[in-house]
Amino acid sequence: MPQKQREKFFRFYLPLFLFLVFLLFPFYWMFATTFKSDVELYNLKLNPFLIHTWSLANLKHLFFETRFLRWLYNTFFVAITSTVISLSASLLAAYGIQRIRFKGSNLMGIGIFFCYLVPPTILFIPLATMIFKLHLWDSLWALSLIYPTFLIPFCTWLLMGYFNSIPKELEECAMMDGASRMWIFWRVIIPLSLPGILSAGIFAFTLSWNEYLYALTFISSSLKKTVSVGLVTELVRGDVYHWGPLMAGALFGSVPVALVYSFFVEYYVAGITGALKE
Amino acid sequence: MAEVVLKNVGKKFGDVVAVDDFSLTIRHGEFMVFVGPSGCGKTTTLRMIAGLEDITSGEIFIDDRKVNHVPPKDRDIAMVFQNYALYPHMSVYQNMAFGLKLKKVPKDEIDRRVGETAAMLGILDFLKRKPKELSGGQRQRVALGRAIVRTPKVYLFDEPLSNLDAKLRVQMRLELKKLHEQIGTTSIYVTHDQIEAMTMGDRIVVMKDGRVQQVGEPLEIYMHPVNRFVAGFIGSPTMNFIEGVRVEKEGEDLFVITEGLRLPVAAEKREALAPYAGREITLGVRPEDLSETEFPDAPGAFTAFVEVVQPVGNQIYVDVRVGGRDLLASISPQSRVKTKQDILLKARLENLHFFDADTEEAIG
Ligand SMILES: Nc1ncnc2c1ncn2[C@@H]1O[C@H](COP(=O)(O)OP(=O)(O)O)[C@@H](O)[C@H]1O
Ligand SMILES: [Mg+2]
Repeated sequence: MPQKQREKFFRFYLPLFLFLVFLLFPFYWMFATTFKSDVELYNLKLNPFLIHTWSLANLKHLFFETRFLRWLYNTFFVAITSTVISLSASLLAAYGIQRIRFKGSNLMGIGIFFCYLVPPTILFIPLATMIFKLHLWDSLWALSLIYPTFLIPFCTWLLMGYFNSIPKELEECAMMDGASRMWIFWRVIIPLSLPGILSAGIFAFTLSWNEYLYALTFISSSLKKTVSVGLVTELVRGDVYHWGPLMAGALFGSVPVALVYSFFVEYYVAGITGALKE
Repeated sequence: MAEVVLKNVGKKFGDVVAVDDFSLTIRHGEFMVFVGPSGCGKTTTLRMIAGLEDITSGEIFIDDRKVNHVPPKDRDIAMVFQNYALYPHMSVYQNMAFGLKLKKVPKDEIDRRVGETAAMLGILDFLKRKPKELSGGQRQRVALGRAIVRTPKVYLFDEPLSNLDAKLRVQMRLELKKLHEQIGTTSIYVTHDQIEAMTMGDRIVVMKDGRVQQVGEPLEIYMHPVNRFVAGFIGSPTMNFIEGVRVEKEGEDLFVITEGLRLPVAAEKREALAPYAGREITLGVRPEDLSETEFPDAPGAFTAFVEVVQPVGNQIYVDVRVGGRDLLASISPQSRVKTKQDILLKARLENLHFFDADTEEAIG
C-alpha cells in the first residue's frame, strides 16, 4: 500500500500542488501587495513574500480616491447586458442552424464561426464609425452592443454542439403530440440545455468582464469606465505605477468572476463535456 | 381506428433511394408489421406516414384524407421510438400528460386517463418518477403509455423492443399483442426481427433495399415466399438453399436432382416446374421439413453424413453433408442421432421450394 500511495503522491498530488502554486501565486501577490503599506512595499530589505505590517491604506485609496465602485457597477452592467443579449440571440441561432435545416444553414454556421476569427484589433475601426453614428460614443451601451459581436459566435457554436446531443426524437415526439416549434423550444429544448446555456453564459460573462480593447477605445469619461480600463488608466500615471491600489483593484475585480465560477462549476463542466446523461 | 393507404410512395435522400414504389393498404384495426434487414427503409416509411419526413413521390392517405402535406400534429398519430424519447426533465405523469395538455383536455380528465393507462400498463407506482429512475422495461411501458393515453387513430412503433433483453422482449411482445386486441387501433410496427414479425403481425410486409418484397399473413408468407430473399428471411432456423439443382422429366414424373439427392416433385408443383426440365434451379428446404426416416425407399428419402448435433430441447438441429453440401435439419428430440455417422433423412415433398436461378423468384 505505501508503495502505491507514494506513487500516487508523485504522479498526482505533487504535480497538482506545483500547478496550483504556479496558478495561485499571482493572486497571492495581489493579495500581499494590497495589504502592505507603501513603505514596506518599496523596502527591498524585507522578505517580499510576507506581509510584515498590515495596512488598509491601499484599499482606502482604491475605494475613496478613485471611482472603483462605479467601475465595478459599470462592468457588471456591461457584462450582464451583453451576456443576456448574446445568449438570447445564440439560443435562437444555434437552434435554427442545428434543427431547422433550412437552405444554407450549414453555410450560416460556418459564417458565424468566421466572425469569431476576425481579431478585434481589425474590427474596432469600422465598429467605431458605427458607434459614432449611433450616438453611442462614450456610453456603456456601446460595449453592451459590441461585445455580442464576439460573444454570439462563441455561444452559438457552444450551444450548437449542445443541441446536437439532444435526441431528435424528443422533438419529433412533441411535434406529433401537437406542440409548436416555439413551444418545443421553450418546454423541451431550453430545460434540457440548461447546463449548456449556463456554461455559455459564464463564458460570455467572463469574456465581457475582462474585455479591455473595446472598453479602452469606446469609453473616455472616468465615470463610465470598466474595471479593467479604469484601473490601468487611472492608477498608472505616466510611468508611475500605484502598485498598492492597482493590486487591490485587481483583487476585488476578480472576485465576482471567481464567485460566478464557483457557483456554477458543476453545470459548467457538464455543459462543456456536452451530452445529455440519462 | 383508421385505414392507412400508401400509393407508390418513394423517398430519396439525395441520390440514395431509401424507399421505392411502396404501395400498401393497412385496414381498420389491423396490426401491420414491416420487417426487413437493417437499412431497408422501414423507419423511413414509418416516418413518412408520421409526417416527420417529406415524401419524394407518391401519396399517403389516412382515412381517405391525403396527408402528403399535413403536418405531424394534424395527423392524429402516435409514435413509439426505439430509444423511447421520454422527456428526461419530466416525471412519468408529465410525460404521459404532455399531449393531452397540449390538446387542452381538462385537468381531471387528464388525471383519469393517465391513471387508467398507467394501471393497464402496471406503471401506476412510478408516476412521480423521472425516466432516469426507471429500468429499461419500465421506460418502454411509459413510452407506450404516452402513446396510448392520447387515443390516436394510428400507432406507429419503430423497433420498440430492440433495446430490451431477450426475456423481457418476449414478455412485452405478448403484452403488446394483448393491448392491441384490447384497444383495436390500427398499428404499424417496424422490426428487423422476423420472429417478432411472425408472432405479432396480422399481416407482414417484407422489405429489402427500399422495396416491398411480399405482403401477407405470417403463415402465408412462411408457406409461400415469393422469392429466395423472403424464403431466407422468414423462418428460423433459415431455409437451406441448394443451388445448381437439375430438373429432369421421366415420363409423367419430374425430379430435382443433384449429387446425393434425387427428389420427386410433388404433384401440385409439377405444372409450374415443367418448363424448367433440363435446366438448373435453386432448391429450398426448411430444416423443419427434413425428418429422420427408417425407409430408404420412401419418396424424398436420402442419406446424409452427420457433422454436428445441436439439441435445443424441443428439437435437435443436425448439420449434415450431402454430396459436398451443408444442410441443416431440425429433427425430433427422440432421435438417437450421433455425429460422424450416416443418417437417413426424408424431405416433406409438398413443402419443397423452387427458385429460378437467375431471377430468384419462386416457381409455382
Ligand atoms: N436522414 C437521412 N439521410 C440520408 N440517408 C438516410 C437518412 N435516413 C435514412 N437514410 C438511408 O435510407 C436507407 C433506409 O434507412 P432506414 O429507413 O433507416 O432503414 P431501416 O429502418 O429499415 O433500418 C438507408 O440506406 C439509410 O442510410
Ligand atoms: Mg430503422
